[in-house]
Amino acid sequence: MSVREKLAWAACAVLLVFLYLASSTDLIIKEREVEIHPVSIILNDVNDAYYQNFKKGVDQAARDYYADTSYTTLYDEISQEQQLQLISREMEDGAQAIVVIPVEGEALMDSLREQKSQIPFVVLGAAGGDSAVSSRISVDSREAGRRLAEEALKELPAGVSCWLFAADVRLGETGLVLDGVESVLKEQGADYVLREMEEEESLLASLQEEYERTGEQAAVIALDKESLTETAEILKADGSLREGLAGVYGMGSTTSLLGSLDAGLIDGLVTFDQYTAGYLSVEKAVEAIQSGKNGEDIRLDYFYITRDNMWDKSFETMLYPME
Amino acid sequence: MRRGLLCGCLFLMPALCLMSGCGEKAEQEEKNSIRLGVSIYRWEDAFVSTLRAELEEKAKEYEQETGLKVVLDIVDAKESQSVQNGQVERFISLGCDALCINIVDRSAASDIIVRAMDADVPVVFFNREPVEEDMDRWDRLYYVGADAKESAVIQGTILADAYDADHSSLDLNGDGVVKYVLLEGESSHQDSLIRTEWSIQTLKDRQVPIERVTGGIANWDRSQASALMEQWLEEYPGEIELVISNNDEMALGAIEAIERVDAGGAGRDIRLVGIDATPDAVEAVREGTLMGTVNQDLEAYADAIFEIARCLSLGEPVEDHVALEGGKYYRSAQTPVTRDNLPKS
Repeated sequence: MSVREKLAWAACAVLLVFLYLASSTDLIIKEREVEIHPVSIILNDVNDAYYQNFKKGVDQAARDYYADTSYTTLYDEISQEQQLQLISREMEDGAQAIVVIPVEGEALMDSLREQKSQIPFVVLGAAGGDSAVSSRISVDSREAGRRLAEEALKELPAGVSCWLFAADVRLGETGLVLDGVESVLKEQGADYVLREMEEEESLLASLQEEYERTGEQAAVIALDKESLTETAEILKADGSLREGLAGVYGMGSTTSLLGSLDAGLIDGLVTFDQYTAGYLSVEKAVEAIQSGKNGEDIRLDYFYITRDNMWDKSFETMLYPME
Repeated sequence: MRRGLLCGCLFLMPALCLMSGCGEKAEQEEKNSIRLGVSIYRWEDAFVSTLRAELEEKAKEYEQETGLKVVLDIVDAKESQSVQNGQVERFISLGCDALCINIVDRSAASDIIVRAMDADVPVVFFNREPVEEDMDRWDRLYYVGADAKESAVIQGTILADAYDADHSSLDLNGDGVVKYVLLEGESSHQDSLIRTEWSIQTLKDRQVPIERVTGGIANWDRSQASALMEQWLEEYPGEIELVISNNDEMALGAIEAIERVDAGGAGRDIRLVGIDATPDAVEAVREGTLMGTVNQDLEAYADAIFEIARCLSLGEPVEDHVALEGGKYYRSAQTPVTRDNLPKS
């Protein structure tokens, strides 16, 4: 074997070793290590029934940004104290960021300011306005309430009394929605009554009785998704109660509420893009983990949805997002 | 020199074994949370949806009682086995301690089982039972469900008891024959065939004179059943006296069709029975539109799924907490639900 042949064989051997090291080990080409970020999402309810579109957005962002998301719901009552305990637990359990939908926005912000947490918080809601949170994703609930009342009054016959239903105006954004709705009703001189934490069924029955007695219809404006859902369920179970109502309007959108809108039990609702809210919350959480800096606050648009426009392409994709 | 190396190895081996053992112990002691991956075959299925809510309740109760955090990752397989296989892979990569799987295709469990075995993550199948051959592949596979034959026999007994008490309760036109239609679940689901067979067999055994008008597969789905029933009401006007449904959702779909098509006619007298005792069905029994259903004790059902998964996650012996048949099967208790024995609302 000539010297040239020996060199060629040696070169081949070196090449083979090089190829082996390159393809099967990390010595030459380093494989990109993907860091998974645990992000806890703490809801303001005892179950996730109202958050299906939000969860779809979260799940998509989790795949896009390598986040390991886990959902935590409240145990058996909706209380800010319990939510704070769960936040502490998630922090102790190693969450790198927390996304929280507050039960009571101001109380949550006070607690976060006191805690001076080292991990990023993304808050969904308008409460607060300082560096205690990394990002805030919100809808202008007061303006959304105004829009709801304006649209309702546009459609309702003049002089109809409005019954405002709410589960609890202290919770979530309901107080802001009430501010907005009340401001419009006052401006336009409409009669209204606020009913909070009461049995919608007996109220609707009494409105029906009133209608049968006097022939005067009333309108319902539900200030939160809970009371709107309850109202729709009652009207679905007993269609005769709908006769006494000139209109049913409210905040929020779930598959069940949209079904009621499509069935004509609800006349209009104001909602926002929950899929985008879910997606952005995880995106902002991961950005905050990686950069260690606070991100910007995001304001989402709100929309008035009726039976006529709910199947418009843009609304349909927002209301029924694909996973 | 060689002897020195040998001595060194002999000295090091027990030390290494001891160290690795200590590591495991420390890992067990440190466990302050468990993570369960739950995949549901179809989110909209009313029975499975109620079961899911019960499972979440169990997890919360356990958390509150013990302080041990339970993370439930619940996902919808959208009736696609390949989607479910991907979900299982993700659960395993996320470090789930156990998997709770409501399998899409009961004959295609091997892929999930192989992945779980490779990662040593135990699996609790529920509601949709994998074939026995697959269940025997590993000793860390479990199944929680109801005995389909028992459900069907109870359903048949509800009808036979009503017939014995008053023939006209089922034989509406008094011609001596009870003419029925049958709403069946998915053809690939083990419970469909068994429920159909034993419900009818029980009626025959109890000497109820029955005659099948027609039947169809509505895949456990309310709207499909509603469409089928509407068609039958038009094809066989005044003939149908009884609707035997493999589950409550389909029975409720049939009720909707009757209300839509024939509420004012003979249709309003048609008797219907279901299985599952979903909240809507119990309400229908209360209202009298559904004659009866079969309660599968969802609380115990969910409790068994959670307890088995929890024990496996924490390394506790399952049989100390859950009574199993053949070391891997749990069958939930079942009872009839009629207007006479309704739970108080």
